[in-house]
Amino acid sequence: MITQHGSFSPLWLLAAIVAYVATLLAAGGWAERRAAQDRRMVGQGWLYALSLTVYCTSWTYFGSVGSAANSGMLYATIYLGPTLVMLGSWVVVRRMIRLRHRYRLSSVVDLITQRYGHSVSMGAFITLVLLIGMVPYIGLQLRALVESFAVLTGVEHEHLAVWQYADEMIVVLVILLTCAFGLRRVDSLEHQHGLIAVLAVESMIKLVAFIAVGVFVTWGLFDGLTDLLARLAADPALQQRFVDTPLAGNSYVTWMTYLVMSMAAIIFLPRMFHVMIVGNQDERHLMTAMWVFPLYLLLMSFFVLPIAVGGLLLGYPLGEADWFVIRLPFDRGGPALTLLAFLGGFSAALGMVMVACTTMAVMFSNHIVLPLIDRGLIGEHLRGGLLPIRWLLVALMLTAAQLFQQGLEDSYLLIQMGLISFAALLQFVPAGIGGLYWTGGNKRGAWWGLALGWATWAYTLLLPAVVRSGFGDTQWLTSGPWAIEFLRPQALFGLDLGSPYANTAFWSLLFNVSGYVVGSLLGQQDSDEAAIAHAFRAPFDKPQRRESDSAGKLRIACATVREQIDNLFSRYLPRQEATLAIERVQQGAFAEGETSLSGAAYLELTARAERTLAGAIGAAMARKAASETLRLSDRETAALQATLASQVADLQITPQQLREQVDYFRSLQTMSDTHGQAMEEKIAALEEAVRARDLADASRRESEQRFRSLADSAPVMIWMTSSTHGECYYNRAWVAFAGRSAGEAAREEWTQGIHRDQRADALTLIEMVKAQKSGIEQVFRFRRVDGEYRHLRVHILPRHGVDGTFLGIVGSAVDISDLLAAEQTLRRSNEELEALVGERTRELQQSYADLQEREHTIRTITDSAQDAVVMVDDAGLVSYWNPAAERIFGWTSAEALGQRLSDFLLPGRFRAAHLAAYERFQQGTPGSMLGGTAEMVALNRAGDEIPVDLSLSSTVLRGKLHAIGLLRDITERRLAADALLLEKAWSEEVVRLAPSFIIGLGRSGEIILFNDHAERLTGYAPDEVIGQRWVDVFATPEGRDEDSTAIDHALQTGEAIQHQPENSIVIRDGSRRLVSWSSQVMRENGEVKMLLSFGVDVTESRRAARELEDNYAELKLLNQRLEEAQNQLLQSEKMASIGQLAAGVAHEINNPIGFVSSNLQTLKTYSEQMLQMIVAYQAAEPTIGDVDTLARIADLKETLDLEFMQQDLPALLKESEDGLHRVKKIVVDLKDFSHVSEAEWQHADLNAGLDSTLNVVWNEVKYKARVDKHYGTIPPVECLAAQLNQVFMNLIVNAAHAIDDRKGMGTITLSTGHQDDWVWVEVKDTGRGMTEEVQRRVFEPFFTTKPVGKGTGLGMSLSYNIVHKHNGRIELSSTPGQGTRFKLWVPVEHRDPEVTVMTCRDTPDHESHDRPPLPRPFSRAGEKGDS
Amino acid sequence: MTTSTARASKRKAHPLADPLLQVALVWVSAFLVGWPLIQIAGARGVIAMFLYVFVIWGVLVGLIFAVSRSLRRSLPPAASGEEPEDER
Repeated sequence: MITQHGSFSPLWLLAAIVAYVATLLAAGGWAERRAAQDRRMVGQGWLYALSLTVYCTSWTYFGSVGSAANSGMLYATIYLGPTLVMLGSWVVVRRMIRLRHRYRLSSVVDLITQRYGHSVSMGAFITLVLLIGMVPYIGLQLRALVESFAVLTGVEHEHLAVWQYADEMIVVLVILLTCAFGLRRVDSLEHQHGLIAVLAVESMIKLVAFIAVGVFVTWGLFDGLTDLLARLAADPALQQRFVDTPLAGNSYVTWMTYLVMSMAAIIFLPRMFHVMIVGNQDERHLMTAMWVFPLYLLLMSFFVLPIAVGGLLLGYPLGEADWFVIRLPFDRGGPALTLLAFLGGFSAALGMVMVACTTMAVMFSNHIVLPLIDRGLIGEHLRGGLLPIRWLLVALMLTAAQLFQQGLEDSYLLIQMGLISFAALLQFVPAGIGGLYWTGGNKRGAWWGLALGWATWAYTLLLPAVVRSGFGDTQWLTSGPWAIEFLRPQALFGLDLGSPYANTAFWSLLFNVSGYVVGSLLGQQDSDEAAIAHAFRAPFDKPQRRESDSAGKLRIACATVREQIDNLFSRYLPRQEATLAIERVQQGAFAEGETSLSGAAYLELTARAERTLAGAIGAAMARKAASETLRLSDRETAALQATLASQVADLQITPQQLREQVDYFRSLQTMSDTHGQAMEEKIAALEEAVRARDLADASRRESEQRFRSLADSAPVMIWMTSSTHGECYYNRAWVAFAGRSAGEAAREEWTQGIHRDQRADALTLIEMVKAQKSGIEQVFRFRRVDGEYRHLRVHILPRHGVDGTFLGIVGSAVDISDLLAAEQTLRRSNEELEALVGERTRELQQSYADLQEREHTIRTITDSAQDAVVMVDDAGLVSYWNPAAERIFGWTSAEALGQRLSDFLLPGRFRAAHLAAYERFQQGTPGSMLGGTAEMVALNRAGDEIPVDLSLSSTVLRGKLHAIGLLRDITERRLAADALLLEKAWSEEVVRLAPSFIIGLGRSGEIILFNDHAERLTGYAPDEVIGQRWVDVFATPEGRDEDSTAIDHALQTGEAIQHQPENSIVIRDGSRRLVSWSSQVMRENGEVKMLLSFGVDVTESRRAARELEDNYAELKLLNQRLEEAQNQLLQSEKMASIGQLAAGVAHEINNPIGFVSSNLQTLKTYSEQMLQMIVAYQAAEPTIGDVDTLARIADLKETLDLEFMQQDLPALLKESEDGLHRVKKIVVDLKDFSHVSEAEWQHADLNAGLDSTLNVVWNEVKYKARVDKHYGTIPPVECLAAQLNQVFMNLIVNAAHAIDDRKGMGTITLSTGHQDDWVWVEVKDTGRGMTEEVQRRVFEPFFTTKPVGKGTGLGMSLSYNIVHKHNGRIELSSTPGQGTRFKLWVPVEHRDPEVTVMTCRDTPDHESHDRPPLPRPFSRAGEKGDS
Repeated sequence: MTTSTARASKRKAHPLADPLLQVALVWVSAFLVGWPLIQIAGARGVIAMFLYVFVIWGVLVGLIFAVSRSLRRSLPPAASGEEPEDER
């Protein structure tokens, strides 16, 4: 299908074309066959409408996209014009259709020539012009076919010789199709069913294909119409092309020109005239076509612009826009879509070519070939071969078109041929449309108008196109002929409308209309033309009849007329068609027995013959042929002329006036005669009807009376209705049934009593009776007087009068309800009986099947049984021996069957007993073994005895008693039982001697097993406890219930005891023992038999273990306390060492600072004196005479900057002195902090202690917080000052660490005060604060919130102990995120230790600091630290 | 009832079946799809013109369908091959 170049295989594509053409042939053939069988096609209106779509050629299919790409929406005008025409088609087109039927017009040329005096030369002229326009147009279609073939196959590049003739192949195909469907008969007015069907199929294919491509481009290649239009809007250049090119300037003149041209084309295009006017079989079809066709055009046009825009947006060149329809699917879609698109284009072109060639061949043969034959310019013998001539013409036209398209290829002429043809067709409008409405238009006017119009068209449009195609000098176009610009073809007389088509339309229509009007005004109509003009003006009037014999007494022999008509048709038609045509013409013309025709009848007959022939050879030629063939003899002509002449003379008018008068009066007379005759006929008929009705009424009355008498006595219900809805008659039976009086019933419709569900059926039945005029019977449900609905079999007959009018119906009804009920009961009984028989049959069948199944099952069971099944008959012989018996005893079934059982299966010692027992069995004594099981021994094939279990039973088969033995080999079971006994003995010994406490409890909890170890442990002998409940003997009073419940539960449910692993029991001496238990439930046959428990006495071992655990816990606690004490001691010693070290360092620093300070004072004095000296020297400088000395002094002063030195030296000394003071203070603070020399209780100033501590830790604080001091006046406190300083240090350092330096500097507030005998010191920070958990644990040893390595967790614990030593307490309040406050209280005088920590969980500003200390804390978080 | 009276009655019942009205509709339609309205639509760009043309076209098809239905209802049912009554 697809070649390696990505193209379609030419062979494949050609095959697809052939297949498609075959489909068309089939469709056309089917339609023709139906027509031949006189079967109407369904939906003929739709077929007619679809045939109009031949308007959409390949120029539409391919070219409209190219047009849209080049000119935007201008393409739409070509389809909007026809839409407007179809809106007015009932007015214009219908008129043409009526004329076509009246005059049997076969083409647009016939329309013109028929209207304008049957001019043969005019017909030839129009045909030639149309031929000039149509052949290139057909060539354009062929080019589309060939080009699309080439696009898909790339055949031009294949260089395969055979495909170079693809064009010719396609042309031959088209010729064959056209001849097959378009030109099947000579009479072109014969409805072409096949052609119409083919066109309809093609129309659907091209519509579907084009829409498919449009949908593919719009939604397949883009995201829908909105996306496509949005992209177009976003591309100014592209939009500019669409807007500016066609619509700029006076381009709307072009728009309107195209609109008008297309309106003309839809009517006067030969192919459109052929399908729309000639092809119309019923004017009503136009009502369908008038909206279907525009809808089709709308659908075909909708996707034109999207496809064009899509192709351009995708980057395809503008020059290829004509092929976007197949190029886009070919490049970006699938082969199926591409093939569909191709077939759509193929259909478009093929349809146009077929119809155009058909119409052109008919026109050419009728208006050129036949006149030439008549003139003797070509052979007379061709006259009868019109059909082959037309086939030949089709071939010639298509060949010419093919040569044309090959020769011109992409020339301007070929591309523009569609519009050029449209402009040519515009010239039909004045003569064609004018001829329909203006009776004054005549042959001369038509001639002038058409000639001038087409001349202008040729000069302004056709010739420029030819020149632009390379045939002539283009200078002629730009400068005009002979350089006369005024005559430039496309700006004639200096008028340039911006479009060559607009120019041509304007000038050609101007000249055409002018010529038509002026020529008509100047010319004269002959009588024939005038009559036709009137007929064209009023086509809906009934044609005049020439009944009246205005030709006097003239009679013409029928034989002569027949011969003339025969000659006329035989000249032009094949024998068969001629015969049919003659029969049609003569039908009803010759009255039986008459040998001659009147003159009027003769004239009517000749007119009919002429019209019939016009369908085959055209109106003009038919007129000519009729006038030549249908001639009277000289005598007859003379007689006719004489009669007419005398009449004319009597009238004293001119012949022309006479003709008009004659026609006028003929019509009047005809109407009058017809009307009068009709009236007379009606009157006579009415009189006859009145007489008949009177008679019928009398007869009917008598008949009715008899009928009523009979009906009232009839046992059935009878009634009679009237069609005039007058009173109805119901007989007595009916009245009794309905429970109405005769009067009431008479005023009702008989159908009122029918059940409402059937009432509609009754009305339908009445209508059927009316239509069929025969009786119908049906069962209805009627309501009886008691309200019950009864089934009545109703028979109704129509009543008709003598004149056939419907008078009403006669009905009879019989109540068949009882009959129906009886039938129903009988039917139900039959059904029940049949059901019963069927059920019994099924049961029997089922029983038999069950029996078979059961036998099969039993045999299967015995065959698959593991035990031997042996059956012995009444003679003691084996009659059944199953496979298990074979396996157990080693004898095969074949060997065992028929043998005596005792001979081979029983040991010799048992045989006598067996025989005796079997004899008793046969005599009917069952014996003890029958029905039971016994253990015995049997022999196998090897002669070994094997133990077996024998189950014996009996059965009766065919009246004889049989014994059935089931033997099970129990050898293995014997061995297992022995092993079990041994194992049981061993187990009992193990239990007895086990070193554990083993007891077994029965179902009631009683002791059933009590081993030796239990006896030793408890002191009870087994006899004393066996049979007693366990809980009664051994349970402790407090554990009795629990033990009882656990044991009962285990014994009832079978689940092992989930008790405590150890519990106590009471032994014989009253003491308790701790026993560790494990238990297990023992089962037998699924039932609990015993609860077996194993116990170990763990009394001593548990006691030792508990003592060990207690000792371990005490040791652990002691160790923890020891560790805490050691750590605190270490910390305390560390701090004391640091204090001693600091005190020592301070002491050592104190001495050097003393003499440095002393020396600095002396140095200060010296420097002041030396500065005084220098001032004195400076004052004496002016007295120095040595210049060099002065210069050196000046240099030194400048170099040393003596003036600055004099100012800076005192400042340096002052700073040094301040530094020494600070060092002294630090040393003092260190000494105060450590109080190394004051290890005993002493009175100390806590404010001073706070300050010195702050100085020591200042380096930890200064970068984190600002320190606010609020010291109160407090008395000296008896304390260990160094230790309290250590507490202060811990609090201040922790406060500093709690401040988050990322939030900036915090604040540490140090406050002191006293109340009563207590002094308090408060350290408050604005740090992170503490959670409750931290507050509770803050004084615990080793508790810290600092990172590992940063804190020991002992600082606060140590502080707590120091405060405790001072008999004071610490209050703590903290809020996370806000800060912490520590407030410690110490007594002014030392007392016994009692420290309290109060935790205030509110704010740090809690008022508790103003409250005197309480003897007991609110909460003693610190106690935890104590423990 | 005379023929002319019958015609008048039919026209009243099926106004779209009136030939004069049909001719008038052709002129109105030609005006809608012709100059100057089409130029006004075109001045707003090809998209506006596209939408305008196809909306009007759709309306026209609907109108023709209505005319067709009106004509069909206004005519008496015809036997096979019989020409409809003149509706001039």
